[in-house]
Amino acid sequence: MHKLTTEGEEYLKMGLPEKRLLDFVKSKKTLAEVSQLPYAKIAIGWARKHDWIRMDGGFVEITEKGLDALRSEHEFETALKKIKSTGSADPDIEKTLLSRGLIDITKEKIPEAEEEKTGLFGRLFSRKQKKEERIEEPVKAQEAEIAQLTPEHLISGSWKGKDFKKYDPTTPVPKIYPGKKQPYLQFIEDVRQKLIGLGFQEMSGPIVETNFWNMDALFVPQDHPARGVHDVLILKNPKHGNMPDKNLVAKVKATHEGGWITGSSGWGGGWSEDVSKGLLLRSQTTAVSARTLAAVGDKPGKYFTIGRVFRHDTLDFKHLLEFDQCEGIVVGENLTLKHLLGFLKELAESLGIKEIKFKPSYYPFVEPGVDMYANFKERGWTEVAGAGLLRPEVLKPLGIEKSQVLAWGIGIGRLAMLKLGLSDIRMLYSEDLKFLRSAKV
Amino acid sequence: MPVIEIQKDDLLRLVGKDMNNDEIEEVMFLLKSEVAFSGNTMECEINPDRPDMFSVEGIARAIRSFTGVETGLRKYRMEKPAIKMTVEPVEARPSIACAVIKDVKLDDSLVKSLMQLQEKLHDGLGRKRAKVAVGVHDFDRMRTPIIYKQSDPKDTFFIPLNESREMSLEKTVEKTEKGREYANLLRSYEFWPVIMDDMGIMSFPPILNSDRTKVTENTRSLFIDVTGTDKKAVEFVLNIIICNITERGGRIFPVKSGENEYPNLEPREMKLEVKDIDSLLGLGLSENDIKQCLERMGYEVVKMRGGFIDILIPAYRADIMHAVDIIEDVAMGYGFNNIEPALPKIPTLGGYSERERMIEKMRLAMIGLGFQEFMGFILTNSSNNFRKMHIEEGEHAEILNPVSSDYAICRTWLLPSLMKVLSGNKHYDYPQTIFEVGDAILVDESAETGAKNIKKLAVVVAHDRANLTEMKSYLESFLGMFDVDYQIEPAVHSSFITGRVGKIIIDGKHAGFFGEIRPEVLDSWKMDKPVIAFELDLERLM
Repeated sequence: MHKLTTEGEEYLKMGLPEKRLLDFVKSKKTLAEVSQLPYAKIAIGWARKHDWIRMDGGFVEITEKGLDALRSEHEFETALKKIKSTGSADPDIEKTLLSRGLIDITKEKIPEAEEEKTGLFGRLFSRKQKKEERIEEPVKAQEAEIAQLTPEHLISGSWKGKDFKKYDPTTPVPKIYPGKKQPYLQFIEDVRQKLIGLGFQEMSGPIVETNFWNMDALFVPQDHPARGVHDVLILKNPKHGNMPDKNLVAKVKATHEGGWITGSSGWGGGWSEDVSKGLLLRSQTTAVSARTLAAVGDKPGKYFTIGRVFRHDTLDFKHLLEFDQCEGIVVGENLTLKHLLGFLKELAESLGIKEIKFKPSYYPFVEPGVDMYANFKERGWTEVAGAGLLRPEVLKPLGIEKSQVLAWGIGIGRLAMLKLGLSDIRMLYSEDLKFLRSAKV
Repeated sequence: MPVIEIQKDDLLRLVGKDMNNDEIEEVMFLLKSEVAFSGNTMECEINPDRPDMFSVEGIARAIRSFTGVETGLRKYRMEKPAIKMTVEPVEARPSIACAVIKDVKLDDSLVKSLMQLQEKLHDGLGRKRAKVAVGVHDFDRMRTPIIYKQSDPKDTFFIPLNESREMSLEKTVEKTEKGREYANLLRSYEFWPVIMDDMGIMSFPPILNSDRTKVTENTRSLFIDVTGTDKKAVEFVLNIIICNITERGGRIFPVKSGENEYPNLEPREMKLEVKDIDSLLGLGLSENDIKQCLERMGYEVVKMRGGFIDILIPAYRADIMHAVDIIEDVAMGYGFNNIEPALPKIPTLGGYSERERMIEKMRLAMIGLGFQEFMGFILTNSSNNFRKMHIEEGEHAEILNPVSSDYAICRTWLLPSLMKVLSGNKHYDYPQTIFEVGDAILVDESAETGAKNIKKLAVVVAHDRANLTEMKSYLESFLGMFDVDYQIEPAVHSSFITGRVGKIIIDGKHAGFFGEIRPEVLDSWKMDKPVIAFELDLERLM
């Protein structure tokens, strides 16, 4: 059994010298200033041992670790409390505390703390109780003042006529981390809700995709550089997928080779079904739009999807090998470029973007193509969406006879980064628990 | 997207009109291009559909039309006589088109611009020289007759550009940088392409020119050779180069071989229907409006009658495949900034897919249990997915061309992603309770694309006293929120401690595992806290 020495009692009340030092050097201090502290020597010793402070050029500065320590209870402090109430703590820590002269060995028997309840909830609760004990004094048998109000007090009425020990509500307490959504997913969810509000139905498709849906149905020529090993991730296993019905394949082939009945010259050269069967990790969610169009035909509708796409890229603060895309289509008769711009404007408004402008642009599967730029306070004009009217070479083979199709995609990652104040795209998929725990909802 | 670097003073000289940076930027924006200024240097992002704008001359031509300095179709004069060339069958690169420009002033601006144009055309239309390659020579150092043929690589010698010694084609491919870079385009052929004149080999497409015919500041006449595997692309590349160079002057002399005479700068004809234009743009433009728009984009309107418009397309426009390509130019000529947006009237009801709705409920259920959500990558490696988890390497989707070995396969389950998170966050407060709802990719021969994405839920808890009881409580608490019949059975799973792992059965089918992670696995992730986990196939709950 152990009990606290006078010094131990003092530390328990005032805080460990090394913790008091941290508080003092929260803003950078000179070594001379620090040396003035009565406990300077011992505090510096322990703080350096824990890597809580950095000493450089006559200055003492708190470290990241030190800041963390300042916010939480140190195991020595926990142990001191525990020894005060139960007479024992973790044997290793006891040794250290003994060597620091903060505790003494005693023969005096202190009543055992109540046996911990077994089972999950017992353990969970007892963990929580221990945390709560951190700011309060332990319960004593014959108390003059009540520390922890207990069921026994209430049942027996023994609280009557007693004073309650006063606690300081400004004392720092242990952190509780709430259950929370991943911040980027939270943003994606907001966008999803807005699109549903605009009348869109959600669609989905496979991540391992054939070239047919990812490229050929979208009229991307088979020798296009964007299909090469430097742009997409090609699968080694499995290697080939199934082709859709022969009729559709024949139409796509004819369109690529010579334009079929679309009025186009086509790309010329041959079109290979073997290439088309090849599998890749989808490089654009437009593959999902193509599948949807083949299924719904001319029936008017609005569809969107938010999903993972993959690129052969270098991994840095601007590029990822996989990221999420958000795109959709509007199918209807008599749709025009004017309507595309009108829809984009509406989309921007629903996302809270006020000032926009349009630039003609190029995507192989649309004509005309357009990019939407938004003016942000923080970074000026920024491209936020790409869109266009799908080319006849895409529509006709998929069975769209009478309608125009507006196709659009928004830079959901870029918008999320602006919203979350991030400059590194990798943070959208961060593995840093501190970042995830501290992100605002 | 190709980025073209040009000099502002050079551009404005070619445009023939003074413009400030804002004016240039606005016009370029309306012509599909974003620009950035840095002193006199401008970087222009040009879309890949406009290779004719891959040089300052082409950009200047587009600005001249758009701003009204010179609208409509450009006319090109062919000088006489044509230069003769013999073309023999060349298996590796069957197509060739050449032309000569005389009286060129080869100043620094043109040399730089020509080199950049050549490089960007090689990369784009030329598909890294496989489809098209360009050579530029000093015509005054050549002596006719000229012949294009194939030759034995071991037995054909010349002095390659910037080399001092004569070497065979084979040695050229081995010894020179360009040779090594493009060798793969020739390797499968027994004979390789060469262009010869009376003095020997002057070009070895698609690798290198000869040193003898290299272009210097004294060059006044250029011979351009374009070779490749696609006749149309070869012709377009030659047209773009000739049209762009001659924006600075010079006289074009065609090169003739048999029936073919190049360059063919005759504009192509196309008939547009006014109602097609209106049904795509919705701008209600009159025939005259359309004519003006087209002229601002460099076209000529020959005839307008009865709702039809006959137009001429410039020979340098390689991107026009369909009427819609010209209709887009009508909209650009009109100015995207002048288009009044209109709302489409397609009344539809929006809605979640039932699946997404369900997934969202499950995420909320985990958050309600106090867990921090995480979103990870699907790409991983077999060390993380299998070895560190102490399980046998099973079937998985594998990438043929991974960017790095760290991202070479698709994950088959989510638990390794969460172990990686725990492993990287050991210095933060415990308990750590984390979950992810995400996709795993399972190889499945019966699936349309040979693999399926499966939604899974993985959950981990790490703290000093984490144990099986706690995990089972979480699991049952989660499952209890959904209308699902499940059973728990003892199980064996080598990622978990034997005797501390359970199997989740839903509707008689296996749906996942839960238990205490075995110390070997914790060691491989360098964890020093006990970890408990469950992983559930959410498809079984939907």
